[in-house]
Amino acid sequence: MQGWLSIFIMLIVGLAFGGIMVGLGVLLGPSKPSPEKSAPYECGMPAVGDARERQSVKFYLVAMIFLLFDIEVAFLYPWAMALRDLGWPGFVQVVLFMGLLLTGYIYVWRKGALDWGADK
Amino acid sequence: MFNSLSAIVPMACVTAAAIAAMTAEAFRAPRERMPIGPLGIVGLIGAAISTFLLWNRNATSFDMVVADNFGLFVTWILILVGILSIAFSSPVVEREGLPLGEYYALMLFATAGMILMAMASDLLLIFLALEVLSLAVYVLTGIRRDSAVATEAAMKYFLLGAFASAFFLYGIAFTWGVTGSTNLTKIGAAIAAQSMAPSPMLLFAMGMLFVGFAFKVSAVPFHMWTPDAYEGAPPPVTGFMSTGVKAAAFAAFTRVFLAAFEPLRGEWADVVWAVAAATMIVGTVVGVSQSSIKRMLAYSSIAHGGYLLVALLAGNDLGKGAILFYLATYAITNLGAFGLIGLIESRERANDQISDYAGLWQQHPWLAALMAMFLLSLGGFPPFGGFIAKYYVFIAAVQAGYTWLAIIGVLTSVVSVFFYLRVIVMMYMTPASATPIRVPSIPAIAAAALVVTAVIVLYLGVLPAQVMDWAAASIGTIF
Repeated sequence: MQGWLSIFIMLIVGLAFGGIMVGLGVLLGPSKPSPEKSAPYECGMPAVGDARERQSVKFYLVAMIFLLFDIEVAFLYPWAMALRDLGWPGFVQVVLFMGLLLTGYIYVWRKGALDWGADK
Repeated sequence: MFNSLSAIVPMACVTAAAIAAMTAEAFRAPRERMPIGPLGIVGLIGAAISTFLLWNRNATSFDMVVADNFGLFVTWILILVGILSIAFSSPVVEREGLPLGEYYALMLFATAGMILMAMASDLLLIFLALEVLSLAVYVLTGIRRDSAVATEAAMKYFLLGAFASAFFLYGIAFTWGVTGSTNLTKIGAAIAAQSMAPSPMLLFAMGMLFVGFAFKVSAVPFHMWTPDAYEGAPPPVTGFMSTGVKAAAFAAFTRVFLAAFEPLRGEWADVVWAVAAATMIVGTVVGVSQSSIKRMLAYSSIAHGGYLLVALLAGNDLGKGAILFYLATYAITNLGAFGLIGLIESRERANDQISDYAGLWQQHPWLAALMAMFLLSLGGFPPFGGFIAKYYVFIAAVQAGYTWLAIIGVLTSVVSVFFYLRVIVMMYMTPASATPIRVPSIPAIAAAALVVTAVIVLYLGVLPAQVMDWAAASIGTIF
């Protein structure tokens, strides 16, 4: 616990310093608010709208499908590195894995999850 | 390579059927009718046959999947649950216009996960199986996408379930940290070696694992999601998840706590005692005040989880056999009840209030009789399966010295009879309302499922010896 004392002092000093500065500013500084001054970005572009807009659910779908099919590479590289050690059993397993992924791909495609057109 | 794969054949059958269902759905034209449900039943029958052939063989695959008789017995229950759920689903899927292929594919994937969970002998594999079944069941809960109740149910179930999974995974990590393995046998050996003075870390790990399991079997105080999820899901799905998930989770629960963590019994016994008592009491007392039949059965299923915990705590030979027998009886009976609720629901009216059942006897004497039978079995009346199951649980508890727990169990069981009987009184002694329930014709497959369920409930109640022997024989293989 000895080594932590200096860090603890540092924390206290940091908090106290920041607190005192902000406190002095509030106490001593003049306060004349105007709409420009109280905008979130006082010296930037004026805000054009709410940041919480509705996004199309397709973005989530595509992101999720990307994740799923991206993982396959994470399995293929180690298998490729260990190809000779794993031999035919390893090959069969990877083909089975790819077959399952392919089924999923066909399903996603046929269900129209990859169509980015207007809604039918 | 190939003879070591025999233990995974049952779940491979179910998975193959699920993938076939998914592919069929991909090529199905909109509105085209395809026999996807029967396809799933074929896969499940394949799994049942392979399970039968694996009996007494103790096959092992990858050192992680153990097809011992215990796992196989639970697998049989799960396969039966799967087949009956699919049979009960067909009229509901049609009526609600649910996506045909996805519905059955998810149900089959969940069943495969449950079977894997019952046979897994490695904590990581148990976790994977738990996730496979949970994810499928979350989606099934919310499969009525346009219903606000269903969406709320699925969201609650998903969020709380994700938390529980995190607890479980944390428990696995700590167990691995202390014992250096995720294999249940090795964990058991490592714990036995230091059971005189278990490290606090190990107790922490055990607590985390307990929370994960307690959530899945909806034991108090981790039961909050149960009534909402059971109410929002379509009734056959509720039947499926209230029986299948519980059976699979109890199988893994038993394996982990009565095999690997058995040396620490002194540490967990009191906790399980308290949780079992709380589960029975809360499930029963809150169930009394429900006016929706689905919520009532949800609380009843919480209470049944409590009786199963009593059997688990007893942990003697009788208790272990009683867990399996109770799971089988409870699963079949509850499935029948929810299947029937699914038939009684209609597109215009939910018909899920207990008062909706007034005078059902006049309109549909057979449905009323079957419902009465399922409810009496859940309440533990002879000559139905529920009576024998409860009898064995309480005998086991008394023999193991948990007399007080048995007394609580019997008392709550008596109180629970109140709410089961209330429905029966509604059906038989209350005059029908102005707009009584009219059930359209029942499809043959659902009617057959009802008959099969009723026959099994009666069989388990009148001639329990054979199944009890099997249960006892399966317990002998792991403990």
